[in-house]
Amino acid sequence: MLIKEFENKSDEEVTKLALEDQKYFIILVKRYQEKLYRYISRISNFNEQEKEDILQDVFVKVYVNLNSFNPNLKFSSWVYRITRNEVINNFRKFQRRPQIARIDPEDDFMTRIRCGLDLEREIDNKLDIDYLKEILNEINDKYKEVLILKFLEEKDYREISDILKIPMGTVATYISRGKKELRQKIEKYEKLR
Amino acid sequence: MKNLDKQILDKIKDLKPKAKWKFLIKNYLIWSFAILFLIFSSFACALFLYLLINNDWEYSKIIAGSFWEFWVASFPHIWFIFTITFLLLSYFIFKHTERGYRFSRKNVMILNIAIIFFLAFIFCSFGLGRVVDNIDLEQSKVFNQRKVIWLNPEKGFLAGEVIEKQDDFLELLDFEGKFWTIDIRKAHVTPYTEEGVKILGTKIEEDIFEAKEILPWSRVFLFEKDFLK
Repeated sequence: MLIKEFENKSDEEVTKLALEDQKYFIILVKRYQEKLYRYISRISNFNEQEKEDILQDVFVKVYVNLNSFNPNLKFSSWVYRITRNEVINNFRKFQRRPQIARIDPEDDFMTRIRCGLDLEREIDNKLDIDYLKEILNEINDKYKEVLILKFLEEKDYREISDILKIPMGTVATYISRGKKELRQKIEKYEKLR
Repeated sequence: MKNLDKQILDKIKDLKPKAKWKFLIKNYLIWSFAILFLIFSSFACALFLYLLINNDWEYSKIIAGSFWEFWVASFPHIWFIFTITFLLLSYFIFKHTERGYRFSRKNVMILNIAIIFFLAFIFCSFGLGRVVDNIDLEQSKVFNQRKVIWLNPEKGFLAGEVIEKQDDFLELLDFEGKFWTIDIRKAHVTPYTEEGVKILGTKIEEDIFEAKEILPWSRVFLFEKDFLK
């Protein structure tokens, strides 16, 4: 009921309401829990329970720090940033390294990455997804992170800059280098086929 | 994935968002430190420039034997290190401001360096560089080697404050607090506007020095002259 009533309100407007009354915070939870869960899956290899725990902690942090949200930022960039930091904290806690970039079959990732990399050949989707998971894990972490945000989360340069807290020029460089590395690996794979 | 609405609401039920003023204070503190370190850096840079501009390059061979030895002995390393250290501190703190990450390292550094030089120039122009001459002799070995270099009457270098001036003699109080009578009959005297002078010459007796060249201790920087009046 509450969700439908406020579905036209922007995140920033809902944030203001949530500061006045906690019940409105559920609207933000509803809007973001699936997106953030997917994002956590893409940048980590935690099991389901751990991911859910991280997600809960993310929303607690978002709520507690609502007053620090700067309206000059997009709300989504801010929550993605908190999520990323929470995942990193958990890597440290469990002394793990990020490994798996999860790509769902329903993701439009293949189309996007093909356009992004200017790949001309049509490649078998099933094999490509498995292979892409593998090579995405092979490329430099900082490039991988940017490529995930660009091609899986469909964030623009400004948003990626705000999520990772790096200048836009650096985002562009990482995307370009990541694409180059990815393209080289794909082409190498294509030659071997 | 489970629907986590309920768990999340349970978790935040007894919590309240942190007050806005706490975040504001944090932001102001970060900005204050970034600006403070920028001013410290400018101040260190002003002293560095003051010492560099007043360094006695023209007497380098007489003082140290060679230009490079003079450079090593008289270069104001400590103020250079302070300038760089405070610059880096200011940069790192600026990067932790709310939107500091949006700017590239190169742009922030160029802007910081431009501000530091501008402020250092202003500080120097208002005579701030001269505070380094008030540092006592023991500490001058680190902070103002120039004073130590010019406290060497055996080698023919002497500097200090002119206490009294007569036609043929000067009464001088050197940096160690020792009184000297300076014979200026054969000296070439460059007009000096303040009491501080440096003298090239020969030590005749324990407290008598024959001057060949008398120069002002430091050069006057831009509108410093008017300001000091």
